Amino acid sequence: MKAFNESQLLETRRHFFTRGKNLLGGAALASLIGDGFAQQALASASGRTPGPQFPPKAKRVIYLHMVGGPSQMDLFDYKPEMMKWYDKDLPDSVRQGQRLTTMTSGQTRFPIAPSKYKFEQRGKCGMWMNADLLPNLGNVADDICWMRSLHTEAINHEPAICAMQTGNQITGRPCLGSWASYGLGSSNENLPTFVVLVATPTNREQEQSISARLWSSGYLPGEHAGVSFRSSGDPILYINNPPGVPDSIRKRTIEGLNALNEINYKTVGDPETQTRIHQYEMAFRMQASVPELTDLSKETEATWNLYGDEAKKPGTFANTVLMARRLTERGVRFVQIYHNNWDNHSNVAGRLPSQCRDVDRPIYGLINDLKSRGMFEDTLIIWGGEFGRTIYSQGGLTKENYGRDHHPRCFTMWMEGGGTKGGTIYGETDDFSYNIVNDPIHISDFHATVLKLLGFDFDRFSYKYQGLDGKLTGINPAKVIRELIA
Amino acid sequence: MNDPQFVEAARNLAQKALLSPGSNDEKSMNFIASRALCRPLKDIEKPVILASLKDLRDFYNSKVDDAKALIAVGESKADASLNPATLAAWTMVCNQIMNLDEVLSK
Repeated sequence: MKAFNESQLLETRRHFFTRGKNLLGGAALASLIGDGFAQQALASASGRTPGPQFPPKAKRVIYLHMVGGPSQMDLFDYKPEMMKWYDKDLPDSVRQGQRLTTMTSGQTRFPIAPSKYKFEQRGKCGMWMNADLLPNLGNVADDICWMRSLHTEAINHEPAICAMQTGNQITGRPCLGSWASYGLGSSNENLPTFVVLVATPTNREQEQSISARLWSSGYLPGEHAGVSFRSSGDPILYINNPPGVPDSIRKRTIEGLNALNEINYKTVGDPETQTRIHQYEMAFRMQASVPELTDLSKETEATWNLYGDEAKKPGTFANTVLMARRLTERGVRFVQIYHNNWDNHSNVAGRLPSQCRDVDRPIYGLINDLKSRGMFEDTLIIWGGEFGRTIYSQGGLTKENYGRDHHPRCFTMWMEGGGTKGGTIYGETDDFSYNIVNDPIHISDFHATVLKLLGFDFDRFSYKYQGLDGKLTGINPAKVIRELIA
Repeated sequence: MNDPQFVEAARNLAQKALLSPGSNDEKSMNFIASRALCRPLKDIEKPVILASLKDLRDFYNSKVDDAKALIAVGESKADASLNPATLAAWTMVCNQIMNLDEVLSK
């Protein structure tokens, strides 16, 4: 009797009320909005998906994170004035005492390194871009919504990527993909809602560590964590049954397993037990769906012409982008791709070309592929790193080569499709690409804008945790940048 | 669940249960529960496990090759004195129990 009483106490008030709220809230939402989304949300595995607050413009997201921090003034933030400043010191009036990383704070000089690259204007929007390294991307300049004035607080990779992904430099909050998964729910019960793909760059001189911390669901239910697919061998480890266990037997054991978990859930009421029940069901269904997903043999010549032959090689950026198209086509809400080695502390001239070659054609291919499949309008593509790079050279400087340190005060990102306004060029930095002079976009503003495209008001889209309303933008003041939205 | 080490561990737990003195289904079940859950099984849980066990036994009795393949997973060798079909069926019972939320995270 004692054990029984104790187990009854294990269901907390919070669990009880959370369940009740979702039940009523979900039903109310379905009757209010009345579109497929809310009904679908109700039908989701856990019944814990709130659904969008207003009709979303983007139904799925492909987020291309360039790990390391691409050099904005060598790619998108054209600063011709800097030619006159070659090897002159960065004025204190520009630096304004800003902290530097310890990789350059000991330098006796901060000599200006003008970009060695030729720039040209692309598209009707006239976006100034690197003329040599991004020839294909330039062809779709008018589809892209350019943001040249992102800024963040973080100056080192791990906290900066974490901030970019979760709105907070400290590990443990849900990432953007988890919020999207939680908010919108699944539209294919045979695949995860949120998938992560880590691409292998051609050059691997200066990679940053990338780990599951970055795609954690934080305080959101565990089923919204990103599922990382491996690029070689089995896409998911141990997805295949051991020898001597056919599907029918695996199915039988999962039924028994879930029945026992269900008994446990009814007694204790921990929502994470339900997460596990859904995960086993999902894993079983994925045994059938993943081989079909990863089989590229039915892709036509047109696909390879778009993405290039590199896409046939598992793990390349081109391959992961093609996989992203296949995943989103099958209903996956959010695909997060990481492409590493953008951390060009030295040898920009030696590294930047292969970095750009890795991504230029595949992204162009993806955009055109989505257009031809009618997915362009409601698929949001995001491109960007975790911060920018300094105008001054780290280490040796010549006209032909230089290095650049981390720079959080301004950097360029872009979005495309999914309700963004193509051909917009938003934000402006000073002649040194050091400080923002017009229309700054804090990363929380960027998050608020992305949530808006997904159908959520960033300030009201929250999850109760430890007595707080947890939000992607946290307690940062944030705003939706209306000019970026079509 | 499908990791060879995990499957091998399940087989060894099953083997220990079956080799313990005077084993029968009830005792084996509780032997496994006491090690995996640190508690005896509840009455409501037993029929679920026995039902799985029956289906697994029926299957592996009719497919002895599958039973032998399953109990060969891992580096340790299966005890030759045990009936392969029985050991395979109990291996999957252990695999089931070892994957319970209560075992993995509580």
